[in-house]
Amino acid sequence: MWFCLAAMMAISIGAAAAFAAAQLTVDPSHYDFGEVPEGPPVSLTAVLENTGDADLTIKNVWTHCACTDSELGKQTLKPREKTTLKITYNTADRPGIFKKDITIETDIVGHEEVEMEVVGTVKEAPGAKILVTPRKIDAGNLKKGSSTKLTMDVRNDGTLPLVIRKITERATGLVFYDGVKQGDILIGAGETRRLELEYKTAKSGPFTDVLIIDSNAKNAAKGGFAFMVVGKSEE
Amino acid sequence: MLFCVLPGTGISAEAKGGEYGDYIGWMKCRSCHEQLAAGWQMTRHAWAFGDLKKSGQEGLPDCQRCHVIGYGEEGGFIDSDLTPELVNVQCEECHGAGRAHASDPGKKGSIIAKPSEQKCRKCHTPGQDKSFNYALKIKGIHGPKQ
Repeated sequence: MWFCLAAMMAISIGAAAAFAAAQLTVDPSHYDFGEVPEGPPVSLTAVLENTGDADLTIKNVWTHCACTDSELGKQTLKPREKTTLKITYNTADRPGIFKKDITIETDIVGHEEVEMEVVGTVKEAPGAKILVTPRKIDAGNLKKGSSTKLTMDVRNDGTLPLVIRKITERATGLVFYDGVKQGDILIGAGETRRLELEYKTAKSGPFTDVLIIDSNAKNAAKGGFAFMVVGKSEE
Repeated sequence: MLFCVLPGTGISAEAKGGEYGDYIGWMKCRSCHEQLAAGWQMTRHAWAFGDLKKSGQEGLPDCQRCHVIGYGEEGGFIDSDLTPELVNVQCEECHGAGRAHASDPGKKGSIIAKPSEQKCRKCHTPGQDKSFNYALKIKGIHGPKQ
């Protein structure tokens, strides 16, 4: 009898030891920042807890995006031990909705990846926004040395006046419009202005030129807003 | 070239898209490097732009730079309207612009054979991927079968 009881206890202890496993609980695993202003970064500090009964190691925290940083308090957690994970989303130049997944990589067999998510909406800071139509202008067939008129609509979709300072070709750096000499082009918020361009090329054969508009538009890439002129130059 | 701005009335027709610059896109690379391209298609890099779209940020220049090829470089990605063939983190983001290599594959120095860790670190920052291990990651860059 005593022998049987001792044997049963030994089996149950062995089984418990065999099934000891770590478990990672993330609180919160989903977080909505709501509406936040563009510019200052926003942060959340989540609590990570080992709710299992074995040690666990957090091998990596991966935010999937250079716009989101993570800062982990501690990598190894004993059962019932907690640590913090600070997630920071950089809102500067990122207006609009965002949804960022964060992957926490652990050494838990079968649960190597634990996911969390942060969402929100960045309220756009006031500024000018440029929109050019069409983006690719067909100059058609040009006789070498002759010019043609090209037309484009430039719209300011922003909330502040758009100021066009310069227009250059990206490959050569040639300046085609210079606000210092010719005066800046001003387009009010919500307004569209039709621009007509006198275009001439010295190139031969098919060409694709990338022209850059230097302006105060906040939606433009660092170098400026680009549009293309394509065509064919004939002797 | 002469270029000036005048008040006008005409409307230009939408021009046809075309290749420009030194970046040629992964489909051109595939014509010779079929296996590598097939492997790459199984990686996250192959749908990096789709990932950005999923989060609604495909139009933000500061986000685009890590999800396309040749951002900010001559002949590289401009935006998804003008250069749709250059979205996703393709071959040329690591190996450099491929037009010279595609025109003359035998020419030495026309392509970066072994990209540096520095290239990856442009986007895989310590905040984004704390334990980023270049030696390990590079093994899976062309997919599970190499």
